Amino acid sequence: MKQNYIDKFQKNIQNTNYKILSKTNQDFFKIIALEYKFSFQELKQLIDFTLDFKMWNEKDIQEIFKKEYNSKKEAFNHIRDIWNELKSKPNSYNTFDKSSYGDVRKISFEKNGSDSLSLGACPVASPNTRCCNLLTLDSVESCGFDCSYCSIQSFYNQNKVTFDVNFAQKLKNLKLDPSQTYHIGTGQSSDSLMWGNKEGILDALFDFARCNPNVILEFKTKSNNINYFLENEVPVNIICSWSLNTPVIIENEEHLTAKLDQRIDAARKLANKGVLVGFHFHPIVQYENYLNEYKKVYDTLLNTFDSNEVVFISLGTLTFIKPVIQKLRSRDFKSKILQMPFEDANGKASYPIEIKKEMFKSAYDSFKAWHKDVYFYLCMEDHSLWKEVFGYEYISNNQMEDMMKMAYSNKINNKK
Amino acid sequence: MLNILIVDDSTIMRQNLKRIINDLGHNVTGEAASGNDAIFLAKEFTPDLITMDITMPEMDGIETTKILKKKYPDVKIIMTTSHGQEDMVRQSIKNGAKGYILKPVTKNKIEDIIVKLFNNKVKHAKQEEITREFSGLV
Repeated sequence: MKQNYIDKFQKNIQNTNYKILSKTNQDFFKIIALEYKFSFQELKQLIDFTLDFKMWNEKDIQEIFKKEYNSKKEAFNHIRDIWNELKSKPNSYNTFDKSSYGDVRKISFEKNGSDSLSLGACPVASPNTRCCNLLTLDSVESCGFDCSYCSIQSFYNQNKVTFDVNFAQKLKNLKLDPSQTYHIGTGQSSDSLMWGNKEGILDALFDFARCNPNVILEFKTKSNNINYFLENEVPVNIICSWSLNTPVIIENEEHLTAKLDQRIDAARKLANKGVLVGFHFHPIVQYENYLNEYKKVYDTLLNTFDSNEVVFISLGTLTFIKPVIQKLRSRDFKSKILQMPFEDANGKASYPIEIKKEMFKSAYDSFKAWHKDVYFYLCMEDHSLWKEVFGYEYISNNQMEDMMKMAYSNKINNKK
Repeated sequence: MLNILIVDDSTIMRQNLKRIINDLGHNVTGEAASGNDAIFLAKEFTPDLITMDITMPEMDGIETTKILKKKYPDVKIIMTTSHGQEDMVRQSIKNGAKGYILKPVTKNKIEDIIVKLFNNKVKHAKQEEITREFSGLV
């Protein structure tokens, strides 16, 4: 009987994250599994709870697992209840410090010379969410920053950053319909500014913007690497946008990125030069006192920029696909980003809708002074949230896209 | 077939819209040159859809939309708008408009939004039309 379960255990753990556990936790699981004869599903979940406790910097399973339970059901439920409780209450980063993150990646640069230009529909667009039909242009593949929540990590090898040597020529060859307005973003497969003009990518993109005045070209960044923009004439149809967050989230979840004041300072410098700027609050993350901390960032923007300088504010939050969750569990680092209550959001895991309403409404209401002059939108969110947050909704993605392009074009035309 | 009321203070714009709507096989039940006329005609003709110009003298499209939606919650209103009127469009949608059409108005734009708003009804009308034509052939 005992030998039967040992064989079953050895077989079951093959399809779990057992191998990622520390050696002491592996040994611990051998003991408790044998004692309580956990099923495959129970084992799988308990192992994931253990990895989550470690990632969240909470007590280790060996500290919370009682010496004795009346049944395996009681044992499993006890650990699951603790896990659920941690997920349902707002996170606290009080136990985190700088030692919680150590960058172990060794980035290498590669060049490729593919024939086709990576220009396509935004990869996160979905028929069930209201989307702006953004076109994404990949000049670089993979990112040098290490944001815990980022889905790039599940698409690319993070240690290898790839530049396309034919990028400039392919952009020159691109034929666009001059009667159409295109909104193209470069910050999906990598940060738009962190690499500067390496391999001539900014030269190529600036030329592209100059030659195609019907393109609204958006650079999205978490860096403050704006030297190229300061040293060169920036085409009026280029918008520079910063993804912003609170200092707590930047320090604990957006590793290697510029600090909040550095990002805002960089945006201010470009606005001084006449470059239109935009701000993404995506992801807004729920944690202790988060609404007040985000409010401080919103107020800083209101006090630092005139609404004429700002094209848009976008709002979004955490949405996870399964491979990212798995990738996060497999990493040896501290993060609270998965310590949240999950609900299905069009096939992805995200906050319950009531939390989203609270976070987005608080953000939008804080920017009341800019409602008339700045374009606000929700990124990757369900249609129903628009009405709740903004008081209006668009009946189609095309209506949203047209309104966005109209708003952006007006700001650009005012600069001419 | 939908019954559509056109509201626009520009005669040329109304004529253009009427031509497109008729081409699409729908019925223009009335034309109003002002917000007040629109309120009167909406009561007379109970349209399925109203195309509403945003900027009109005296009562603008936003205010007219607000009044019409209060009186006739089921009527669908789409705004006809120009560049630079984004905030007015948002206000109109807040007041109950379903969407907007950016000028110049074209057959495709009108058709797109009608399909979006009346998908089943338009499909049903088309099906009836096909059935009628088919019956005539037999």
